[in-house]
Amino acid sequence: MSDVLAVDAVGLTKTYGMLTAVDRLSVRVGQGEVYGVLGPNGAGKTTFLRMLFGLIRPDSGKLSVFGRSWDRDGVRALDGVAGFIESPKFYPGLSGRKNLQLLAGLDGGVSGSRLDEVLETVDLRDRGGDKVGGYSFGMRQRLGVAASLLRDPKLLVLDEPANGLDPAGIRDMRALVKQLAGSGLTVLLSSHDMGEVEEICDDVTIMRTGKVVYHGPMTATMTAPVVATRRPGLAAALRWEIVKLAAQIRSRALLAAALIVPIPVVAVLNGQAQVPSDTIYGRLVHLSGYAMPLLMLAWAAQWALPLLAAIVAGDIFAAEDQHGTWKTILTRSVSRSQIFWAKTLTALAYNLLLLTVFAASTIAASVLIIGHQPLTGLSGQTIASGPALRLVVLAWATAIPPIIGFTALALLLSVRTRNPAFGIAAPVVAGFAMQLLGSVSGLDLTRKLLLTTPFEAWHGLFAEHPFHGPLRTGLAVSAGWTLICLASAYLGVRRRDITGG
Amino acid sequence: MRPIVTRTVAVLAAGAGIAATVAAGHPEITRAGLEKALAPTFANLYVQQAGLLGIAGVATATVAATDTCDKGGPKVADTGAGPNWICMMSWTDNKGKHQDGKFEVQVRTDATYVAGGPSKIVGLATITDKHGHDVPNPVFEFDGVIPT
Ligand SMILES: Nc1ncnc2c1ncn2[C@@H]1O[C@H](COP(=O)(O)OP(=O)(O)O)[C@@H](O)[C@H]1O
Ligand SMILES: [Mg+2]
Repeated sequence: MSDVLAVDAVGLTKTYGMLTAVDRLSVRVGQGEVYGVLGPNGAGKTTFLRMLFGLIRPDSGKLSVFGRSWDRDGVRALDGVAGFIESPKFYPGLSGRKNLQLLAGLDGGVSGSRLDEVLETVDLRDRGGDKVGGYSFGMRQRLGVAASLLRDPKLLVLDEPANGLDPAGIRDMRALVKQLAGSGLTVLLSSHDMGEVEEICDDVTIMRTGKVVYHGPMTATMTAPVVATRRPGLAAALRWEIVKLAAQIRSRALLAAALIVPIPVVAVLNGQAQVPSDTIYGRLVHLSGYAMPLLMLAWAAQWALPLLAAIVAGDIFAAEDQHGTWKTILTRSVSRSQIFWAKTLTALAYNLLLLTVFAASTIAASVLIIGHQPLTGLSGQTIASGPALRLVVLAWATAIPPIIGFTALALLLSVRTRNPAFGIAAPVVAGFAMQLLGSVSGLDLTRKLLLTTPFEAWHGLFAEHPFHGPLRTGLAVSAGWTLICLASAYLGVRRRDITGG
Repeated sequence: MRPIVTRTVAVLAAGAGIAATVAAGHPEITRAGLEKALAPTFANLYVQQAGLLGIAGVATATVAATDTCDKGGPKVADTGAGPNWICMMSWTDNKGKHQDGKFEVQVRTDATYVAGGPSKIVGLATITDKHGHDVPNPVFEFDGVIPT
């Protein structure tokens, strides 16, 4: 057990189109070694390390880390491994300390004193409370080392840690790596600087254009096998997605808007003598406080509800691309599936909360400003105040399935386009297009399959003899869209190569 | 190369799917459906109007509204959404007199409709209620839904 290699790569190959970035690479790193991968820019060092972290899949070859492989063990292949690829990336809007806390959360949590300890190690104790957006390049590099140390790694992987640093920064970084190496840690370091590797490493592999051109001596030393202590699950990933969302100004502002905006809108509409009679229930807004929320629901369904559904969901995956933080969160202890579900559940929960707040505010404002007069139903029947309130709440509740569908569509676009603006705007445009298609006469079956049609299913509730066919169809259609979009988004997250950042 | 092929196939498949649903669809909005929805709705609203005017003894049963609808004249099929539905309504008014009136009905694709009554018979947009207030006339123009 104890003589298992820290890294055992045999015949690894990765191609990008015509280019072979890594060509039948074999590297064996024994436990306790300080190992260098040396090569000029473009030699394939980063590509090799990305494969080691499971960020990209090798085309062929075998790779095991402490005897575990990605194929067999999934994210457990990273147990005892920490480090970063190229320059480490963090959430710029959060403090250094909060970033560390978040990443440690993806490993099962950390104590405050341990946070202070690693910040001390990398000399960031005083600046830990500042936002990472204001950090210098060197500070981010050191925060990357701190984030790695929090995992208590047995193998530390550093991809050109001195790259981009000034001479003093290079000296500090080398001293730090030597100090860490001296503590018995296995270190795998890539560099384009012969001097650096000579100074720090015991063994070396030299690469050029994807191929190994020299192997230094290799010794296997004995160390205890890695035991994973804590296993963070979906709950940890979920918790930190919520923390990230709550830290966003956008998400808080949107909730506040959903709460406040309906009030002046209702007041202004109620104050106008002219009623918006071209929309259903528009003609009755002065007569009953229950007509206004139905008019607002019909209006909101045209673009506001798809937009509300997309603002967080369209961004939640793409934001990781924007910040370059996929590699940061995927090199901890949580799997891609767990990250996927954490983000999906967070976006869904947020959107349902948003819809609830929007509906409650609209209904409350309408009833308080206009009153709780009886409502005329869509068969001309009079509906008493109590049942009318129940029906209005129910009508807003029927927006839940298509909202979930639009959330899934936005999540899919967020995953596939990797562009937050596109992830947010595209579902709204799609919603518009579907509205337009749905207003064409004679497309009755096509219309049923559109994701916007379920927003109208509430009409049947207001007939004298209520009918629920459109609600059932709407539920099925929303479920279909949701499943297809989520499945495609899931595959997108599972399969993609994380090459950016 | 491959992504382009898969994308093209996906777009074509989606297009074919939409075309298939267009071809396979059958109209949900029919003449019978509109006739069945409109007359009782009018009757209910006529009772509401009588209530506003303070006229006693008007109920949906006494109104006994019936209607026949047509879309766009004899050459147009009587199915589907459109602004060109006409319904002839017969009912007993609040003085016990038989009335016939032409309603213009605009049916939307979501199976809701807006119907406008003949103002000579049902009154103008605003009526004066029993307390002397001007109130909207419920049967002048009203929304309804066709069960689907
Ligand atoms: N996502 C990618 N798409 C296409 N080519 C890539 C990609 N990533 C790396 N390469 C190419 O692979 C080769 C190796 O790159 P890399 O592993 O980053 O080298 P190093 O880290 O040694 O500088 C380079 O020629 C680079 O241009
Ligand atoms: Mg590199």
